[in-house]
Amino acid sequence: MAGDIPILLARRMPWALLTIFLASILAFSIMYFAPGNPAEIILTQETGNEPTREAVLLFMNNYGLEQPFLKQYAAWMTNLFSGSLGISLRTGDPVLEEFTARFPATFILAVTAMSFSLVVGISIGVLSAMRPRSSVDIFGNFIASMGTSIPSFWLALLLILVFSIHLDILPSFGYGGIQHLILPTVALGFLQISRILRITRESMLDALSEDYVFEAYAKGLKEREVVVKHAFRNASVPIVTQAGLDIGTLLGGTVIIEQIFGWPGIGNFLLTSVMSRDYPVIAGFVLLIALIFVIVNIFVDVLYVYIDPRMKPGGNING
Amino acid sequence: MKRESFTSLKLLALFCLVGCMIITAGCVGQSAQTEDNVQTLIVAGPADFDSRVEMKMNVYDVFLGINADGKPIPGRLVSSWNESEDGLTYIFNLNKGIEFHDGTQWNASSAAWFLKWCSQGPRKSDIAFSKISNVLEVDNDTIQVTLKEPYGAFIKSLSSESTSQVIAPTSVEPAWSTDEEIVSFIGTGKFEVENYVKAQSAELVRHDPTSDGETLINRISYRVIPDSYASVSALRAGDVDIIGVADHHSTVPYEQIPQMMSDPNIIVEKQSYGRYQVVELNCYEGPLSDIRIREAINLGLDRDKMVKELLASAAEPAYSVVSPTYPWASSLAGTEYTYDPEKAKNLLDQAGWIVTGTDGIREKDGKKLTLTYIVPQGEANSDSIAVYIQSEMKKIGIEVDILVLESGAAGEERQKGNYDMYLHHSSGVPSLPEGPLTGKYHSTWGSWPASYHDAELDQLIETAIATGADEDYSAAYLYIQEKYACMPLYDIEKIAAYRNSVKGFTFPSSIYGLDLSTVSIEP
Repeated sequence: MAGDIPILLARRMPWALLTIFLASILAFSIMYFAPGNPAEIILTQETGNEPTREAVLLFMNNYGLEQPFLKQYAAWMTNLFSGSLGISLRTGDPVLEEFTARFPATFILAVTAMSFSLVVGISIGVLSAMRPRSSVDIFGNFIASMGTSIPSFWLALLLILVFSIHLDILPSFGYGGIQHLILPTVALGFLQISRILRITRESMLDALSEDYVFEAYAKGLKEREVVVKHAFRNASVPIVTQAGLDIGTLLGGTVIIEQIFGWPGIGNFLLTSVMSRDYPVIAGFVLLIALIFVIVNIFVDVLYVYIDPRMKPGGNING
Repeated sequence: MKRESFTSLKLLALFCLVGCMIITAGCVGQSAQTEDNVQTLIVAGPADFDSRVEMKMNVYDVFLGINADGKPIPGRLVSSWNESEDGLTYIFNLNKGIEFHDGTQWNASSAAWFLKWCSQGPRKSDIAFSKISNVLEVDNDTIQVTLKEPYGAFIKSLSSESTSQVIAPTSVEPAWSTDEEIVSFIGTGKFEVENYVKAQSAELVRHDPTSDGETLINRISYRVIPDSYASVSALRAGDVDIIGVADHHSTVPYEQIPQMMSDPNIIVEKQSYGRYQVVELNCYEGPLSDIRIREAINLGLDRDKMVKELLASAAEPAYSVVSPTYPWASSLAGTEYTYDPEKAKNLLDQAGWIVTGTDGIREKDGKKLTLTYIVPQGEANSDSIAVYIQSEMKKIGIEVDILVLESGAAGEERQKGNYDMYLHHSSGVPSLPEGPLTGKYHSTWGSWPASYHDAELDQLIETAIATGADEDYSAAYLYIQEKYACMPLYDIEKIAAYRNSVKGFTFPSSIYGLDLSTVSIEP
């Protein structure tokens, strides 16, 4: 099994590199051709005053912004190969420093929200599939419907109102201890719960109606063993796919939750950079987020092989 | 049956455990701290400490001081200055006995280094610093600055909180280097930065001890909360002590004010700095190129009703291009655009725009009187105000198409003059009285090609910049007022909201200022 991993990685790597390269050029070009002059926006933000034409030209000259697109992109790529993602036009700090200062916060929130949604979503999803139309199933359906219909910002404000203002047991914002993690995790994980729950339920219903499950029961295996060892293992491929997509998205930053809970992640900073047309930050962040997404996808592919050996390179999916 | 009971018990235990964890976690929440004679004020702001000019005013002093009218005055660092007749040379006399937080002396060496760092380092894009040719140390307490060419706003720029907060030569690495970025916050202000975490927080500790008997705050804890509604929630929850002070346009939502004022634990205060929210007009293309239409839309807007109903009376209505209370705009007194919808209708009739159809919209030569109103996303209160303007204009027979654009895209349209009306504010005022004049209404200096300008106005603006005299500024603003160059809406008042345990907070004289050294917290 372990010998299959290098083959898998070798197959995926060229596509991964191509994806990252295309993502970076796309991000750089879209922002370059989008309306709005970074010099004017940033100077206005810095001073609160309307910059003069002279000041705008001076700023553009200092940062090479008057250069044609290809020249700017070539300079950026040259920097990239020498290990630099450039300097933020807005903060004056290296882009990599801006990213590494914020990514741990995004990572912690993404992982806890995903773990929360996986534990709750899979638990309720499996129980719902085991007992269709039972009270657990009705509860599961209710949670799934709420998760897809309640906007996360509304849930976040509601949680603050109840747990921070009225009950006064959890902080309304901030980053640090476990207490700061609870409300953003719930607000962010709720939508993921509904997705995981629905997929788990459907996959488990399919799996539980397979012949091998009846055979396992006929052999006298306990329900827990049948469900966990046989049905769930086969049902988990779509769950892993969904979880992979969700964690990739969450690691790319969650703007609204970060804004409401004062969570110092990459999402809010990237949004502000887009508004300011801070090209180096946008291109650098998109490159790194694409890299993370690619890594997560490769990890998911590897996980498929462990879950279902038929999916290994050269394996026979039809059995 | 026995097994089900056991499972239920386990579930109950699990819920109890989670509940205990939540409650225990909640016990270590944030609140104003007054333990062991240490008073910590928790301030919330919308962005990183390093980008907050107002917060850094507690750490740094500005090269020159500034008064409430935006005039440069001697400050804590510079006692006086002289300008040569040709406008090329300035002599600055420095105050003695001042030290930076790390013990570095404030003297001619550090002052000269600061101006060289500004002109050669990270601030070289600033137009004022780019004019510096040479800085000389005349003696230990005097420096001489030579400019490449005369620049009338040079002294004003040195009193600007956003560009002239003075840093220590040891703030950069290597120390005394003139082209490196700041690596630590070392100033001469009343607080020094003890700890700074990018994008999260900054911990400030009082540098100068308080006098005996004074019980003022010893520490300031700055926390980032990007969402303005969340910062209101944090204040109500007691997680922060004060909001709305860490930015020049207060981010406290106006519609939240009544709710906060009804909370006995919260105090809401407002302060006017004469900065107006205005609608800039395209005076060269479309219907607004006719001065009568510009006058009509100004007279057809009921500003009193607007601030009362939409802004909970948290702002004052604005009737002139800038506030007439300033000495440099005193000529505007008595020229205000008062609400007169009948006169507005008459003006539109005179201009040939007549109501012919059943929809009540005026027409001329078969063309409806329609104005495109661009609202850049993120401008405070913009959505409700835009709809209000639309309904007010309809009453006098004008159709307004609202176009909400992302701020960069809106800026691009503004540069091209693709608008009739454009939401903005009187930038620079009051710290830079020439802000709107140079930025918007001069034909070649600014970046608003469709705003009103002509040769006579250019001359008035250039004279005002050259002399700096109140009457010259006032003449230029009166000219703009008489041309109905914009549609003033309301005074963007700065809102500060704080817990009632906070005592001694006062608004600074400048919109960019903030002095929290006089604040105390009652246990």
